[in-house]
Amino acid sequence: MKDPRIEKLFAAARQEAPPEGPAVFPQRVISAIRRDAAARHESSILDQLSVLFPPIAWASIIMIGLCVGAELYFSNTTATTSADVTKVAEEWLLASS
Amino acid sequence: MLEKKAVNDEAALLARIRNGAPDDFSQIIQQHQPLVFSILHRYERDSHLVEDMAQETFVKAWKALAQFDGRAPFSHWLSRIAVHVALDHLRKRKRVQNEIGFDDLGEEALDWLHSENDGKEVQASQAREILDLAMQKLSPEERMVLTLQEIEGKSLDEISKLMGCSGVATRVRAFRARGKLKKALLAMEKSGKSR
Repeated sequence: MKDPRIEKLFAAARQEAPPEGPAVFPQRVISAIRRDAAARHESSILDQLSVLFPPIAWASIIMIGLCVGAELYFSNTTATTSADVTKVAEEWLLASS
Repeated sequence: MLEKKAVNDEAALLARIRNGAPDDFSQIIQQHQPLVFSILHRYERDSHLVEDMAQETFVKAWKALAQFDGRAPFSHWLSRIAVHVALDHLRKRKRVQNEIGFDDLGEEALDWLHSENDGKEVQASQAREILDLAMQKLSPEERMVLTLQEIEGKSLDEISKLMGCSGVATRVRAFRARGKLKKALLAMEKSGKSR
């Protein structure tokens, strides 16, 4: 195709009028913006769990630590239950025989 | 003077929107709707799709509003967003679209294409059909550069800014695009005459 014909095509294409868009177009865009903002605010259960996970993890570690500490403390300072049972059995049951 | 006042009004309006008056954004949309539609319709003939692309442009502008520093006019900044929405659209379409043939051209467009008479006038819609078909041989970026240069009448410098690429890349693309378009149109002409 010769250059003048190509230029003619471009010149004609320049004349094409763009669509105006509906009168309600701005309202549609505002609704889309609102929907988008609302979707970003809604968080899934997984999102909520991921937010809650660090405090839950720390609370669990503290509880486990407290239990282990208490167990160690009481096992060193007081007699165990089995030792108590043996002692009672020796004093009462064997003494009577 | 009036233009300066309009710019100041727009800056005040944008400041109000940023400070939490989202409904005022509809005024911005109303003001710039013709500009955005006029950019986008060059790359898509379906008016519903043009509307979807325009909506995407304004939603993107809304999300990025904090990044608008006011150094350039708002319309330039918005045009850049529209150009990138159009470019994304062309890339997606290039991936999914099968080759469109002569059957998709209207009879009048075909007549003009095959006529020997150089003086014969061509209607805007026919020119658009022919160019759309020929530009399928171009990459989305090449099509964008050529459309901005030849149909929108932008300078290479303006195109570089709009597309966010260097001046050299734009010049090379424009040159390559013109060559490819010429070749495609020549092939279309020959193919029509041999029918």
